[in-house]
Amino acid sequence: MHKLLERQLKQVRRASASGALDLDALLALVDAAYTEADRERSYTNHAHKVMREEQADLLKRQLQTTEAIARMGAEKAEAERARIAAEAELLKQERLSLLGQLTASVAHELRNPLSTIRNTIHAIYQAAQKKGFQIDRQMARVERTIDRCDGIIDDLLDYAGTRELNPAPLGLDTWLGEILDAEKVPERITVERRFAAQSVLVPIDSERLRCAIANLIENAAEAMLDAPDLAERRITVSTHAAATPTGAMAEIVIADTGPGMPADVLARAFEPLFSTRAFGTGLGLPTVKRIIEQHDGDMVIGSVPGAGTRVQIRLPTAAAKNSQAA
Amino acid sequence: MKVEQRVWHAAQGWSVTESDGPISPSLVLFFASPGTLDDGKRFADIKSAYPRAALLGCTTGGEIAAVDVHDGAVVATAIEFAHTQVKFAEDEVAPGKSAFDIGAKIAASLPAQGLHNVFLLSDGTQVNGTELVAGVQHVLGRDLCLTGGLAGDGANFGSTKVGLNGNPASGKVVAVGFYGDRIRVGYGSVGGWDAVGPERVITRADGNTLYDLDGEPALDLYKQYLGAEAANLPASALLFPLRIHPKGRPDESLVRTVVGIDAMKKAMIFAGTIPKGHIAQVMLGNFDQLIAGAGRAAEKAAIPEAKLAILVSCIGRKLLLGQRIGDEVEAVSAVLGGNCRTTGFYSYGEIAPLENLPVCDLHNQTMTITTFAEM
Repeated sequence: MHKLLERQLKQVRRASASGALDLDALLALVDAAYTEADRERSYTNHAHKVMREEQADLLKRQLQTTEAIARMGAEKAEAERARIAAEAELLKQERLSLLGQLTASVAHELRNPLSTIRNTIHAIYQAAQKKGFQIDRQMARVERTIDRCDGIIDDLLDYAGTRELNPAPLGLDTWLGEILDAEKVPERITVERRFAAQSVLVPIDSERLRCAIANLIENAAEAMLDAPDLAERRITVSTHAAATPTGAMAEIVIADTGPGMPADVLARAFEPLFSTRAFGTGLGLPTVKRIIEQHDGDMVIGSVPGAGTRVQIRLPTAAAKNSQAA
Repeated sequence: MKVEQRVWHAAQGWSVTESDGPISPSLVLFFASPGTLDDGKRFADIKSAYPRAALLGCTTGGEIAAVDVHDGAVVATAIEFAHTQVKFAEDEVAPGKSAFDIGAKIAASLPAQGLHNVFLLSDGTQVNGTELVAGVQHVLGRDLCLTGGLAGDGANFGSTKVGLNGNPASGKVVAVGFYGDRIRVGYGSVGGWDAVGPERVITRADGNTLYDLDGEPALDLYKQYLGAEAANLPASALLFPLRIHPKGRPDESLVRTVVGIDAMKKAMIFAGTIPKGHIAQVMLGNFDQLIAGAGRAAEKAAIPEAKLAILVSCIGRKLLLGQRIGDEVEAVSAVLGGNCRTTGFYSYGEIAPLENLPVCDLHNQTMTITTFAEM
């Protein structure tokens, strides 16, 4: 006999004054036991259902919270990166401003004595000629040295950006073609043109940007001349127009078949005063970058040792500039 | 040590159900169904049967005698100690007097010298059991072995009554201290409920009143769990006890059970303190685990040569187990053996040391057992 039924029988007999079995009372107890079991099953199932739903809801909220925390973390990291970049840019501008003032002052102070030296040397040269002394070779060396000093002063002024830009909208391909026509490139090197921005007008300070392009061409040429084992010495200058998220841009790419740069040199390519050449000032590429940036453009260098170097310059078109101004 | 037990039923009157022979008891414990004591006759019967004994008892949510659980009965258990003295203390609820004050006064009334153990019975609806226990411990120390329970009123949560040498009355707290070096006392308190709901933070509570869990009204949450059973509140809330513990310290878990609700404030009133900031988790009963829990409590309480076991089990267990409630008493008896008489009652709160820590506290939803032997 089931324990529960035994207990029910005992309870029914206990409730009877005579101890006799009251069948109706027993059935009532059995019925109550069935009802209790149904009730227990009912509320247990209900509670389990509610709890399962709660757990699912909690998991969902936990997931949402985790995602929100991750999003906030990413936003915070991005804001921090932007802040650091802005601070670095501000610091750079402050340094450049200071450098500009210093450079302008030094340039002024140096150019005057250099001019005096040049005039004095010329007077000495004339006096020496009258006396019959032959000092042409020495004079030429002094002149070259003075010119080099002038060049360094020009580089410093360009890098410091103290010169105001004087931009005018020019047809990119036409302008670039004239630059390349005038550029004296050693005969062993071929220059290939692949122009595809014929009708694109770009606001350009012709003289400043010419210096930048010429500097890049000369860098490419020198790199190839310094490498004796190259199968081909070719500079490819290409242009095309590109649509970017920030508007229409004109692109100039100068690629060479030279020896390329090791990664450690490439990483420092835009670092002022860093040079791999014995007589380099280390201001060439930083100055080119400054000029491009003054044109609201950007510049990227890619280089693979043994496969050449590729410089990509992007400049906003006149249309894009006008659109921004509007 | 001798024990004699009598049970009264309306249909059959008194009958002696257990006896170790002629007895001269110093203590009679009696547990009575609500209403059975109202005319004073049952108390007078007990007094008449054991005129020289101190009578200590309360109303219940069910009475335990041997392996039977009764409703509508009075169970009187007379105890004759061979080497143990018993001393008594009592106090009652009064305006401006806290449960802590009552506990402290009770403890101060019991001589500390030679005190081995205290068994305490308290009103079950007017006294915060946590504070009561804290008051006793404040005077007698936290190492004292204190067991007992809060009186019951069936599943009605109305008036509960406690008495010492008089017909039980509302608002009373009584205690018996056991003295001597030959008494041995064992105890065990185990629930067996499953904590199944998600963990929540108690965000608003005051004393033994719980308002909010995770910022939401606790009563709404309970109604959600109860579904159709919500119509039977507060009794049906006993089906879902609350496990609480300090944040990060689950080993100090306590189980709290509802003794009332405040529908206007959407608040729930518990038998013990509900500390704000603690973690709370709703629990759900399972027949087999509750019965196994009772057996485990007996294993903890078992001592050699135990002659008497007082079982204080929660009314919530009785409501859940229904007619199968006898299974948990049988599980206890199976562990303690036939030589150990059992008495006890279904309560609104149990007092015993924690399951995992040797510190006494108020519990709910447990089977709490105190065993006695004399060497």
